[in-house]
Amino acid sequence: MNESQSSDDAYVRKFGFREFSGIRQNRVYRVFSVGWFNLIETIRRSGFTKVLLIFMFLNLLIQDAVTVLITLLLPPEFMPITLNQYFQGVYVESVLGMVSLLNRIGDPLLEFFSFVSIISGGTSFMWLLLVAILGGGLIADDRLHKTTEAYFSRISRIEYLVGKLLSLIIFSTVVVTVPAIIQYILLAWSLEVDIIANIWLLFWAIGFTLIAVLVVSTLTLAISSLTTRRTVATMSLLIIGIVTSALPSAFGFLYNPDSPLLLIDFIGAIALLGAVLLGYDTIKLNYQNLSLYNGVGLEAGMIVAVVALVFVISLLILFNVLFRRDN
Amino acid sequence: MSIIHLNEVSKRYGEVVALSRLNMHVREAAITGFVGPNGAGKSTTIRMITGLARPDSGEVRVFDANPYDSITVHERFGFVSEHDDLYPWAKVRDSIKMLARLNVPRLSNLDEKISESLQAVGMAKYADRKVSALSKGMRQRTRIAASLVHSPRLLILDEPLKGLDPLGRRTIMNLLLKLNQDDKVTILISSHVLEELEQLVDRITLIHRGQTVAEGSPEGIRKLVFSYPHEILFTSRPNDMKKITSSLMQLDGIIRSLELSEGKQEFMDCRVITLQPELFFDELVRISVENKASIVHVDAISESVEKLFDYLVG
Repeated sequence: MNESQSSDDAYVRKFGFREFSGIRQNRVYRVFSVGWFNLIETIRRSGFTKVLLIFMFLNLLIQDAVTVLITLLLPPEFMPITLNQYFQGVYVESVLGMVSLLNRIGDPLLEFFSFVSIISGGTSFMWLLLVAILGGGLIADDRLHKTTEAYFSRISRIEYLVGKLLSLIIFSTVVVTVPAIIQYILLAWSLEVDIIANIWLLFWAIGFTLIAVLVVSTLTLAISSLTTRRTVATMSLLIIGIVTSALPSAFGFLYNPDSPLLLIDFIGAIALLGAVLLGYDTIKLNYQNLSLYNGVGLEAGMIVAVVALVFVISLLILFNVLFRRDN
Repeated sequence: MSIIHLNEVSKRYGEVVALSRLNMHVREAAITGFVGPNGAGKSTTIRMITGLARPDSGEVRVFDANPYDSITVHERFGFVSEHDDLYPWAKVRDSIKMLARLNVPRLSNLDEKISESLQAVGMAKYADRKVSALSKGMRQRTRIAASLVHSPRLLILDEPLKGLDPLGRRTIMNLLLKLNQDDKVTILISSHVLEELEQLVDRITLIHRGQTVAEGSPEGIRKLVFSYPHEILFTSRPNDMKKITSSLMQLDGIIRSLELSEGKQEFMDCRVITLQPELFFDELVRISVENKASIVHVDAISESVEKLFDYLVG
């Protein structure tokens, strides 16, 4: 008998069984455990993801610094708007830019000078890239390794689904919502505007980014649930996101900014939803004015419908994969 | 008292009938073996019991609850599925911790319980290794450790000994026996190898083509196994074969039928059907020695579990 064998026997003799007694951890704890473990392990497993995360945070720092710097270098007294309007315009553009990929949405307040959404556009690319990498394997890996059985024999399918969504939501909140909050404080501080008087703008930013995070996370998870290969899911989301975002420009919608076909860019549609939530009648899309309530072309209702449709279809896919089949 | 009841349970996957009016009971504090050939419906049955699948008809009760609809019953059992379902990139301790967090009691010392479970299956020293660096047997033991962390009253294991080396197999069997004898943990364990479970279980349920074909003690099942007609093929040179078969024909009650045929090259094959295989082999050796006749090949071609189950089903 070798050393390993004898120690194994000793372990068997030492093992003391203590019957389960007590109350199980609550549902929130279980869901959070699924979300946190999946987020940490997905980041931990890939060196490339870690490098991208470093780039992401560098990008956020640069975005904040450049936005603040340019607003300071271009004093609003040279523009036909008040300092407070300037702050609101810059902040809205920056937050919308963090979601809008290729199609740039401008705030009508900054009628003659719209630049901030370009600066924050890098964040939207990095965010989509990281969400695709992190989220692509969340369900695909479980289906490949049959880990779903390990989960479903312990927790309900709803807890599993919410836990997986939570891992993407935690991540996206850190890279989109938190920077939006930080930027609000930095901009208000550097332009010396009243933080409290504009607090509604902060609530809008938090609400809008959380909606964007929820919709993109659900879509990512839905794509992941359709395959057993994480790379297929990751590449699908990236290609669909970037191609649909490029289509309006590629087919000349740029010269007809009021076309409903712009909503092919479903990620851009989420950004347009941000403008709708602000109650804007008119926005600047790719530097051209677009009316959302004139009954012609692209309308606010269509934007809400497209975002809701993407969300509902994603949920239906998830429910179909996780509930209808016995897997 | 039974912990698991399956009453007239049926399940189809498209055109394939996985289970057909299956009945099964698992007694409390017993080790029940669940044996059947590949594709018999063992895993489907276990998926019903663990709430992973819903029956098309019939009733599944575990701790007097429906496991598919009642998630609370899941905290009372531990489950090791047939799949190698750990994340390869995660560390052993982290994998177990994540799964344990899903069904451990509140305020328990989780790290201590994980260490105990890892020790129980002889995996304590590998706790910080990545799952991908473990052998198949070690991964199997890790999964069993994960199912033990919350000290379940019922342990359900789907082919847990598959892929284990003899040492790992013995460790797991000792652990299961200890859990059952000392702590009265009810255990349901499946396998497609009957011999594998005979030393371990109190009762055996045989399943084939989605139906229970026999249920009883290991001794009773063993008798059943040896009562079906075994088909044995042996090969010899023509002269030797003549001597052997003429002697075999004189044996009373051992041989049900005997058939000779041309074998490969200069050899002859003899196909025998007997109800007493052990006695037949003893006699075959005796006749061969007494007649100085050599036998070049013997094959018990109906020893496979599938043949047995086909016979039992009729």
